[in-house]
Amino acid sequence: MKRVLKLFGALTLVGSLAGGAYYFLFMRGRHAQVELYFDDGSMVALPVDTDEAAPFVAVANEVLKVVPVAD
Amino acid sequence: MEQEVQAAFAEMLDISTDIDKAVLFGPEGVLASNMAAEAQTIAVTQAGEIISLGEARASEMGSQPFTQLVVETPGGYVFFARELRPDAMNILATGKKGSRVGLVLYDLRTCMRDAREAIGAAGQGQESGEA
Repeated sequence: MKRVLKLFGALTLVGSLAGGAYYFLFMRGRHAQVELYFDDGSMVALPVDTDEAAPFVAVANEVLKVVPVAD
Repeated sequence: MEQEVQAAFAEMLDISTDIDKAVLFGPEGVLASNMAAEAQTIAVTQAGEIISLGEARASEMGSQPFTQLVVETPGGYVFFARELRPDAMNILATGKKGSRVGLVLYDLRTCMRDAREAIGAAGQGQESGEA
């Protein structure tokens, strides 16, 4: 019984570490996108590298060129 | 009235550590801002462009009017929120990398609501003074 518990504990630890590593490597960074919200509460997210997002990104870049964000 | 609007704007900047620069404006011009004068003019012009783009997008989708926008870029965030009424107020803000989007949008809306209340209270005061 003790061995089973040890094995379970070891598997849990390995699983947690693997999950943490996956999150750190692949999921941590928010993917850049344009989010449009509408009056009924709905939202559309456009990946930043799409044609649909391009005009919004161009405007945002223009704004940030004039008022760069302080670090 | 102007003081109350400025106070609402200052409170938003105090509360939201993610907002860097912002401009609150209405049909008659800038109501409050922490941007330089020249930057304000450009930001208001760009906000007009955002409104046109957002309305076009909403129309294409057949959805309700567009009210808020967030753009994430490598240089930081740009946020925009607007009222939907004839004398609408609008607010454009820039945010630091890693900004908490939901909180920033909430703070922008709260600022507009407080500013609207201040304008409404001033309007009522004027009306009762005239009567």
